[in-house]
Amino acid sequence: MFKSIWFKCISCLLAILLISGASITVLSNVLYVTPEERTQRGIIKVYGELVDYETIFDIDNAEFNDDTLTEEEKAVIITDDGRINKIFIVGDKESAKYELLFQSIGYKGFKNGTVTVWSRVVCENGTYTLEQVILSSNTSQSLINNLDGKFFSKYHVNDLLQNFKDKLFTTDKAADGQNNFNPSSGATYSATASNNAVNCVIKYIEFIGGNA
Amino acid sequence: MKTNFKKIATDGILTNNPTLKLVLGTCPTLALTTMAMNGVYMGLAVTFVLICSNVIISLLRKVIPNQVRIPAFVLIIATFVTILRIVMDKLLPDLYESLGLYLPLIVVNCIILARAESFASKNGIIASAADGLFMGIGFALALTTMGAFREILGAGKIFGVELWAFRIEFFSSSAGAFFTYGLFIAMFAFISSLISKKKALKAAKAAKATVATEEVKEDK
Repeated sequence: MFKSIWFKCISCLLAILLISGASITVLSNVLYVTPEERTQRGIIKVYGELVDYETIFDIDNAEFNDDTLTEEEKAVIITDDGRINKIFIVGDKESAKYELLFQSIGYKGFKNGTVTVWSRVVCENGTYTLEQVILSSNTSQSLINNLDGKFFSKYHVNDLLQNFKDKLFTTDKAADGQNNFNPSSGATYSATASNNAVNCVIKYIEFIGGNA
Repeated sequence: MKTNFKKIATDGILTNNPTLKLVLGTCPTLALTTMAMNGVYMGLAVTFVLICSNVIISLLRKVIPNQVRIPAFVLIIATFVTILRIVMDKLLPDLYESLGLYLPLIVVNCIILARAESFASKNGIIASAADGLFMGIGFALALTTMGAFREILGAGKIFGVELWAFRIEFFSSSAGAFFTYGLFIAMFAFISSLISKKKALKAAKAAKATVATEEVKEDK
């Protein structure tokens, strides 16, 4: 039995599998990227350096996750087209100027994949400005590289509450309107998912703006 | 047996260039060559996996039974791709994000499996490592050149640096990728045929000269 070819084949494959599995397990434990580290990476991506922030909502944090939301907040944060994963305040909320940083995920991308973005909203004397939107990550979006800095710069909108009351970004191949996005080089689905992610932020701003 | 590094290097980069001559690894070639930098990154990632998998496969070539060699090779390649992903996610997160779903797809990249099957499983460790290195360089060079061509024409940039406002959107599209790939294969084949013709002519001249010298010697 031990000299048979099938035994040699199975034991060889099992040995490779065991060694591979063990080395990958050890390595993934040593080089594990914590959710906090991922958040800090996102903040560095947006601000160029690590800044002080206060958590309002964080899907990865037991203190501020979905279970801690009211029904009204849930309806705004979790929608059919996307959801907000994280909300942070940068600066003093009591002062005239502070910033809100969102990480939101947009659904309905290519192959039902998602696009996750970071959105920086500046609040100055009750006026909300969508200052910056950058790509965080994606799933199954093969043309995501077509959504470059030029594409994301189109999201810059002054006074969200005035300009976006009951209006949201939409994707259109023949972009002409203020809110229509012309996805470059056919990345229509990825652009739609990206719009959905940003729209989640706008809905939230409307929600807190309305309540303010 | 002495390893002929010169032949391995010429094979990997020119004579048997994996992208332009063997037409292997087409999926990342078409998808990632929108920018020159993507070609460099993907080339480096593939080179790492090629070297590591070639070395291990060469080391285990007498242990792995012939009947299960392909699943064993795939297991080894998948292990190195997973290791690469873990390391890149931790240490080079921007690079990890820019390569996206094409990084795990290295597992099914034909270049790596082809080199494991045709070279590493039949040659020594050093020769296999050299083969992995030069095949990887050949792949990276082809991807970077194609990426630079498409980036210049499609985005008016080179390595992310703005050159001019003029751009032909076609070269950034999927159709542009196929067109560029075809154009590069044709150019590579044309240049290769020119070089081999020149070599053949040189060899014929040398042979003629040898025959002439021998005739002169016989006459004397």
